Amino acid sequence: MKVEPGARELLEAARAALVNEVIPLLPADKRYAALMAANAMAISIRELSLPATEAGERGRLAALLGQPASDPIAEANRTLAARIREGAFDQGSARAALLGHLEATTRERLAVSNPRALRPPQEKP
Amino acid sequence: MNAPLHPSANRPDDGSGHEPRLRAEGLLALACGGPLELESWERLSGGAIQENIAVEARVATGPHAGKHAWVLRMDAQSAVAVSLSRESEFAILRAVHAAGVLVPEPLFLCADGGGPSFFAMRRVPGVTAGHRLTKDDTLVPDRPRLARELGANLARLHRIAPPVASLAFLGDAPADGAKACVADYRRGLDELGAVRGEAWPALEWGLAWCARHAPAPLHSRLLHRDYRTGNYLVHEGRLTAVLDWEFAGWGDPREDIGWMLARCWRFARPDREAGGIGSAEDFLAGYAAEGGAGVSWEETIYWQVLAHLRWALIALQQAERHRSGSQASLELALTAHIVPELEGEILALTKARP
Repeated sequence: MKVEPGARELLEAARAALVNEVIPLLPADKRYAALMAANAMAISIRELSLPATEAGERGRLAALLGQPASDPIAEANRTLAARIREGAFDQGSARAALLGHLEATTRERLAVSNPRALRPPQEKP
Repeated sequence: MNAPLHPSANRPDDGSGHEPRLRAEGLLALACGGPLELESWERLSGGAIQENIAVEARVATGPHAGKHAWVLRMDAQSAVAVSLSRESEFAILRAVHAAGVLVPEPLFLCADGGGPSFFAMRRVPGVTAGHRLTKDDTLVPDRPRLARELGANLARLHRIAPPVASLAFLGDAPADGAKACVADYRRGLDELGAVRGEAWPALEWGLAWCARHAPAPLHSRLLHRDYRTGNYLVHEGRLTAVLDWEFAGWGDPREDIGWMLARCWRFARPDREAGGIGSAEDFLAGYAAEGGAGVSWEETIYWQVLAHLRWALIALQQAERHRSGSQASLELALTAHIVPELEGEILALTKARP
């Protein structure tokens, strides 16, 4: 049986100690490394907190490729990438379906890597 | 070596690069033709590829007698194959300085084979930090003016057209810069994919879009290839010098424009298209006023997509250097987490356009 508190709770506590107790005392030339460490911990905490997101990606890949997606998912992504390069998704409904999948996948990746960027980007009018 | 001996040869090791410092003193004394002492030696924030060292040099006699503030640009331990050697970078700096581009004046190249090659350039005052330049209006009181200066300076660079005898090491200019970029980035993704057993469908989509939309090429010019906020100095609100020329090469001049305008280089101010500093209009107007091609905002979209693709590929390559164990670094590891944001930009820019 797993000992609690486990990975996520420990990382959260470690990050709080780093941010609240250590970083304020650091000389300026060491702050950047410590802030990077805090950011790495935040990414790890989000990855541990979110439900496994590959189910959605797997379903969408199967629909796009017309065949069950591989496990691990990388092989299906290689197939999709090769088909994109061949031009199979350049137009019409194939293009719309691909863009829907890529946007959803990018949102899922952003939720871990950088949730602040989840706001829709503003393009110049 | 017949460099004159000088008092600092007896200085105790202060842990700040004693041996490189002594070697630099000797080589610079030869280059200056007079006894020379480095009175200070301070590492500036550099990349993983190059080290920049600020020095104060006192030259006793000869044509360069006097006290000088220089920066020495030296290879770090982990040079990357795609970047230029110090010898080549020095040749580039001389060519662009002669063309009137704002750069630190290149002074002496020191390459004796007895250690890393380096060159000395005149130290230029100013701030490079992107988050400060984009946030702090006291550093940039007149943003439209700085945006125009950045455009004008890029136009002066883009007057340099191939062939240039002193830049022969750059190889042949591509006939079609956009198509060359697409082929280059695809090759980069394939190499990474073979190592990792992965693929990046959003980046493939961006590349397929760029392959379909490639514009009629402009004649190749000398490109900086990292012309962006963070790589130039601003002093008293004015552009004083563009740094970091290690990626320079021939290509379509709009590639540099797209890199400068891309959202990924706007730091604290994504609403200001020109590097978080000012508007695209002012930047492009400054570019055209100095003889650069007239380029519309809509025309830059293509090159902004290419810019995001290139940065995504570089980010994946940097993360792979950590992942493979060749260079363990938290900073390199975290770079991979920039990629989803770049993918989002590529999707947003391409979605509204067939």
